Amino acid sequence: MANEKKYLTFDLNDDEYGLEILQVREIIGLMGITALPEVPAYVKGVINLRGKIIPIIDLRLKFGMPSAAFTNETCIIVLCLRNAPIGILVDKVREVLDIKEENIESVPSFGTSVHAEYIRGIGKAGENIKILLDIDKVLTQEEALIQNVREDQSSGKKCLRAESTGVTA
Amino acid sequence: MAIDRDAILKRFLEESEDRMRGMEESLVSLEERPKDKEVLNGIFRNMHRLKGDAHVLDLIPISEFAHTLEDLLERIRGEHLPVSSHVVTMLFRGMDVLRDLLCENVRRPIGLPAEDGGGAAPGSSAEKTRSIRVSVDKLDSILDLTCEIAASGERLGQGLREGCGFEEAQSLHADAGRLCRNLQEAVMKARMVPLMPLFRHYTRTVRDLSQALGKRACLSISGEDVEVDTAMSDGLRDPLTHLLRNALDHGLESPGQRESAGKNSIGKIGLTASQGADGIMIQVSDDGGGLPREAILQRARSLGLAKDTDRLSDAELFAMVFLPGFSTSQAVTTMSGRGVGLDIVQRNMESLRGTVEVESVEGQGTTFTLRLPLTTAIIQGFLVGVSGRVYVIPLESVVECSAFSPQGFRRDRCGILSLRGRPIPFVHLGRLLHVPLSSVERESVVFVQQEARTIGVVVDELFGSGQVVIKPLPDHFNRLPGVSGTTIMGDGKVALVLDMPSLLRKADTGKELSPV
Repeated sequence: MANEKKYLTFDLNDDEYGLEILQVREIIGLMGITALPEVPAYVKGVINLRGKIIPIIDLRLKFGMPSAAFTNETCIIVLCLRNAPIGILVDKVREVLDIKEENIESVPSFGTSVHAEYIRGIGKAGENIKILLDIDKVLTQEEALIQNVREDQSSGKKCLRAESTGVTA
Repeated sequence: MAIDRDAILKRFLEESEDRMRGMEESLVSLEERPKDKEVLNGIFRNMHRLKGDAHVLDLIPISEFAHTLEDLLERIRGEHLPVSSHVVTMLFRGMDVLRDLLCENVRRPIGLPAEDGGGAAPGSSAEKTRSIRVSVDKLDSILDLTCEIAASGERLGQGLREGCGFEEAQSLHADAGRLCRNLQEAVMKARMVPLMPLFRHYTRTVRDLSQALGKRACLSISGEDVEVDTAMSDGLRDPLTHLLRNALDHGLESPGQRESAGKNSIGKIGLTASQGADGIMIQVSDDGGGLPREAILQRARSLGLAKDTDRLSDAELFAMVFLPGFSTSQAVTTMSGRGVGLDIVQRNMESLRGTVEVESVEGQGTTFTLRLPLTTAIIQGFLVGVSGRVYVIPLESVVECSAFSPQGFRRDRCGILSLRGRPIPFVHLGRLLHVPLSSVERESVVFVQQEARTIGVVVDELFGSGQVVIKPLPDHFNRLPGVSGTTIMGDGKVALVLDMPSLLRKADTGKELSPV
């Protein structure tokens, strides 16, 4: 049993994906997301999760898939990454599956709609296959990207402001 | 009182490791975008602080090596050295050496294992637990309040079960609301810590530094009983270190110079705190030579910062010392003089929602004044709506508001309007926030004060003012431009608290405001 792990599976753009269940903190229904200015489109914004403000990433947009209208099956999977909760938007949550390590195949170099580096492997469960995500990779890059956007923007301003004080004064 | 040097070293180690991680990340960005001054400035600041901290702790090999790396960075900043991959590799190797030095000089002496295994292991700043001491009295008062809140909820529930009238239910509800506000206040009070430990820490800093610089100085501290929110106390550490370092290095003259100027050969450095009705004021003063007006003027000219430099007032001119890379010091010492420092102070103060000003009299000394709100957690906010979203503008920056009469100048939703005959530039808030604009029948304009000017910010709706509890943005977006935090509204939704100075600066750079 040691080489068997539980995965939470969900739908995204007609494919099935899986996440290791240990990383999942909870699943919540869609709620009002507050948009943030000047972040990449896949950063949907923030929500209030029982008094804590957490960011929401639209996984479709993150993976370069077309965005879809929200349905009553759309939901947010809250993950815990390095002690900081972060939510991902998915089309539909399916089930929790046990997948043995020997039933996980390595990533094909093409044929998946998701960048290969985000994938841990392809899991087989009966007839179906699930794309098992390496969510750490997906979201680590996330954070880095957001940070860069921020740094870029706060930069130029600082200096320009200086000029403007000089001129208006 | 024995100083627990191991604890200090441990803290230094944690901070330095954080800094180095940050620098290495920035180095990667720098290689990608060699022209990005901000990334370079960031690395520079981190290196500078690391060096400074190492020096204070008498870790000479580390501070000297960091100094060498800083020289290299300085050459890049001065555009004497292009950012080639060779140079970046060299800087990375430098980081490795620095890490070895940290291991040899800090890690091993205090008995820590060589390195926490694997670079990607958990243990980044997010996991660092912070703690404060809270008196049992304060905790008791919180406990009492929670009991009362539970009882008042019970009373309301009972009233409702027994079919009490609307008015009675309303009054029970009002009671519960009052208790909740009291609880909020009690928790905020529990977060307050005296400035004393922070201030005391500088006595040693000043002593060591003045010796290293061959100067004589005495630090007088007052107001250390003033209490501030614990987050603010942490946030003040860096800016105060920089200001004191600055006062010693640039402010005070050498003993010889002081004597020939007829002053006491021992310089006076003051660190004072006082509490007013609307916030806290901290001053760092010295009785040194004052800011060199002529040198600042020349530096401003050479940097092309102002056109008619002759007409600048002292206040306007001195404000320039807070710009990145602005230093007039001829000698670059291990402690300061590279023009990093004061811009960090300003930046730190902004993140604490405070301000910093400088006053100086040539020959008599310089005083830096930091003004801070009582807490960073609660502000008076002005609620406005744009395209169905709610935003909070800190009330302190709001001058007045009025209906917006759309006459002329409406192209691009920005232009100039007249406020009792005064031309005021205006811009639609939706444009600053990149929100799709909806057409609203009656818009309003909020006049916001930014530095010496007033700017009109057009919004769809005004919801009035109220107390707002600020929640920080998730770690991922710590410094989102234009947004200083969030707050949870009555309906449970999240509203963004706007950082008007940075938002309006954006208007300047984005050319979204026409020049006045």
